[in-house]
Parts: sequence; C-alpha cells; structure tokens
Amino acid sequence: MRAAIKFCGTCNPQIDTVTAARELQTRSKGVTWINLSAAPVDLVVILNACPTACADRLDVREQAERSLVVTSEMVNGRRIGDLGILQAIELALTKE
Amino acid sequence: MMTGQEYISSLRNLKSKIYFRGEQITNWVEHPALRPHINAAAVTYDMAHQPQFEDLVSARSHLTGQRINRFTYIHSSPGDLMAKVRMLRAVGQQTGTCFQRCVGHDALNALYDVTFQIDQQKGTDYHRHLLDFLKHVQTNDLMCTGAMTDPKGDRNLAPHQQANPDLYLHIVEKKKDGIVVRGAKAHQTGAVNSHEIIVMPTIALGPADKDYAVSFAVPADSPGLFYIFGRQTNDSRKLEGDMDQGNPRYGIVGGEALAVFEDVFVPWQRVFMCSEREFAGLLVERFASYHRQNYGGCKAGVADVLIGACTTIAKYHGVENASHIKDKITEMVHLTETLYCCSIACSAQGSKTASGSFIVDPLLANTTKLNVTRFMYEISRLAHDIAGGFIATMPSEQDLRNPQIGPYVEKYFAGAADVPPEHRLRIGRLIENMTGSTALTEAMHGAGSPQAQRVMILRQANLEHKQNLALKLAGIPQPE
Repeated sequence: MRAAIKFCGTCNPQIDTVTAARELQTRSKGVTWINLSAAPVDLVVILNACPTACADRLDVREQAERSLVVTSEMVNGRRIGDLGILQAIELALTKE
Repeated sequence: MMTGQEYISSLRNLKSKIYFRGEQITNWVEHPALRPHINAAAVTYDMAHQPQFEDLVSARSHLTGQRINRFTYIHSSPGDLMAKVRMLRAVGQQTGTCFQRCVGHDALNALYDVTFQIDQQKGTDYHRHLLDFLKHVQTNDLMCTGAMTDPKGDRNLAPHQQANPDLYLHIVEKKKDGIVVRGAKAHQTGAVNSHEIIVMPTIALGPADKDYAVSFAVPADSPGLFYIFGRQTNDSRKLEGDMDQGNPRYGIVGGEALAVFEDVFVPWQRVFMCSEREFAGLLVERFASYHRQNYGGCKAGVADVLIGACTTIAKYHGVENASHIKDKITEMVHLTETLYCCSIACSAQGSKTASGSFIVDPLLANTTKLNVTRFMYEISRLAHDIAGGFIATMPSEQDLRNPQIGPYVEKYFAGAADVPPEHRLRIGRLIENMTGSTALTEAMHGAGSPQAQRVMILRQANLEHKQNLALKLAGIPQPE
C-alpha cells in the first residue's frame, strides 16, 4: 500500500504528531510511505494535533483513494480511549 | 520559497544604512544587536518548509498558482484569516518573541482592497501597481515591513500645521517618472531586516493635507533611506554573552527602528496612493484591523512559552502542586486563550471586500488588541509572582562561570535537588526578559495605542440599535 502523511499546521498541538509520524513510518509493515504529491496515493493519514482537525479537508482527501483521519482524541471517528494514539492508528491501518 | 538561511544570505546583498548607538553599523547582519531579530524572522521562512507547519505557513498564490509563504498571501476566505492567526501562534511558540513579518503582510492585504477602491472611484492604476509589486514579493519570497506611524510632533495639530512639515511623511515633488518623499516612520518593526518597505499614511486627512496622503513601496536600501535602530531594555546584554539575554537566539520583541526618508525617489509603478486623501482613513482602518487581529495569535504563542517557563520554574522550586501556583497558571492560560478566542472570532466573522479579498471584523479585531493591552500585563505580573523575586536580583552569567565565585552561585541559587542551578537561572532569565519593559510596551502600543482601539470600538458599537432593543423591552415607544 502506498500511503502518505498530511500534517495539520501544528499551531497549538495536543499530541506530538511529528514523533507519531516517525514511529508509524518505522513500525508499519506492508506500507510504502511517499509524499502526498507523488500520486497515486492509496491512503492519506491526516494527522491533526487537536480535535479541530484543520487538515481534514476535501482538497487533502481528494489526493488519495482513502483517508485515515487522526485527531488528538479519535481515529476515523472512533475514540482512542486507553489504546494510545500510535496503537489506535496502527489498528486502523491494519483494517485498510 | 526561501529557507531561513537563504533569507539571511539575501540580507547581505542589501546596502541598508543602519545606525545604532551613534555609529553606522557595517556587517549589520552579524551585529549582535540585530542578529536575534533576524533569526526570528528567519523562522517564518524555515517553518514553511517543515511538514508539520507547512499547512499554516504556506499557501497557494491566487496570482501565480505557486506555493508561497503565507506572509505574502492575500486572504480569500474567513478560513484564511483563521489560518493566519494559527500560523502566528505556531511561530510565536517557536520564537518566544515577535518575528516581525506580519506588518508587511497586513500592509499588502490592506492595500489590496484600498487600491482597488481608489481605482474604482478615481480611475487610477494603483491596483495594478500593487499586483505587480505583490507578484514580485511572492515570487521572490521577500520580507516587507509596513510603515505607518509618523513621528507626529504636536498631536493637537494637523500635519500641515506642524512646526516642521516633515513630522509626517509627505510628497515634496511630483515628477514625470515618480515622486519624491520626505519624513520618517517611527517604531518600525523588522525594518532593518526587511527587503522592502511599504509606506502608508497614519491618520485620516483633510484637504489641506493631501500631500501627506501617500502610499508606496521601495527597496529597504533605497538612496536617501536610513534607519536609526532603537534601544531596548537590557539590550547591552546582547553584547555580553548568552544566558543573561534570556532568549539569546531570538531576542525580545522585534527590533524597532526610526526609518528616515531624506528625499527618497519612488517610481510611479511603486506608488499606491498619491494625494487621494479621502482614502487615507480607510487604509489606516484596514491595516489597523488586520494588524490588531494578529495579537491574539502571536501573543498567545509567546504566552504559551511564558506559561511553560512558569510551570517549569514552579517545578524547579518544588511548588508545582501548590494550589495558588496552579491557580495562577490557570489564570495565565485563561487570559491567553481569551486573547486567542478574540483573534479567531474576528477572523471567523471576516467579510468579503470589493476587491474579493477578506477583511476581519474590525470591531472584534479592535477588541482583541484592547484586551492584549491589559492581559499581557496581567500575564506578566502572574509570571513575576510565580517566578519570585530572584529574577530581579540573580547574578550574571560571568559570575556563574567565574572559578572562584561560580560554586557559590551554584550552591545558593539551587532549587530542587535534581535541578542543575544553571537551569533555574536560565529559565529565570527567560521569564525576566520576556516580561520586561520593552515587551510590555510593545503589547500596549503595537498596532496602535489603547485609545485608538477604544475610538474604533465606540464607532462600531451600533448604539442606536442597542438603544432600540432596550426601548422595546422597556415598553417605551421608539423615536420616529
């Protein structure tokens, strides 16, 4: 799977999206991480550092086949709860 | 888009004349009095290239379709206005101080609409001049400073009544190929490290003052233009070392100068207003609204750093769990987020101008800045309260490094046992310098003094409508 990461603007982050992205790219198997501009992109992981989710926009989603939207509290609309942000993303990724 | 290093290198090509403490500075890019402010401005360039910030600090030009730095962008929606505020907060968090580039950004946006309106009414060509200049700025990723404030002399007198006509910048000659201007612009943030200077009038003007209704842009090193760099609280510490500056990398506030225009020639294609005095007030209002919008963004970012410093020093003192400390930190956060709320609100309520660009809600923008003039003082007061008196008495870095007395400094300035004393001193210096006189005065007067905001707020209060609301509920017939 060809996947890309899109960050929000990180104006006042509640989570460390930079570290999360780095760990995700290191740990995920079966995923080739590319730039969002390097079409075709199967999946864009939209990493928002707070619930406002500024990066979850049509012009971002349109650049990939599918989107996985992460905020400080939810992954694809499901609350992270006790799972931890990285595990929640990885779980959602395995379903893709 | 340039990187920060490319921006700094580009400054070395400028032949700007800058004076500081009685002497013209040579090699001004490296001068310790100026370099921290240059570093702060460079952050606005670097962040546009960092993936976690590029969404905020870059945008797509509506003129060229190219990716540009947002500090050269024309707002085309309320979303853009909010993105600007978020950008300012993000940069403020990284620098802990003013990064200067917003002034030129606001000048570009203010002129975008005002030149359009002048042309519509007067049949002039200023908007095309502005568009050409804007393309130049966007394509070359230039830093502009927005120069509005005149020295003003006797504030009771109109510009043409002043004892010295140059106390407000004005046109002295109109030629076939351009105009010649004379005067000065005061408190110019980032002027010494900008590529271009955009000049605007500072007040609404009557018919006798039409020669003061002038707006233009010239390169920062134009013949006849020079700068007298201002002093700041503790500025000699920049020449002494590192730690005592508090924020040695980025300094305090933006680094302000008096920009003097001694018969500077401006070619017509760089002129955006020339004697159309009926539009001077509109330009001032537009610029002031955009600039007052900013403060809940940039000052929120700076306050975030200050709150972090206070939380840290409370830990270093072993009092982070004391209820009064937590209360004071809470209040600092409350005040900061209130400022941010105001900036977001004036942006969300932005409206479309005749030119198609978007302007913030001016009533809410002025409310934002008026709050900043009070809240930053209170936030700073709370910082002093939490940090303790030692920030006003601690010894110098030289004492800490001295082989004989350094051990005494370390021993008697220790906080919690697991905290190196130098760390306590460093964070104390950061708090001291972020809350000093220059920083507070900038919060008070930047983007206009409190009374200017009060005038704008009352002007837009719509009191007649509010009266009718009250009359209706009180059962009193409304006047005809």
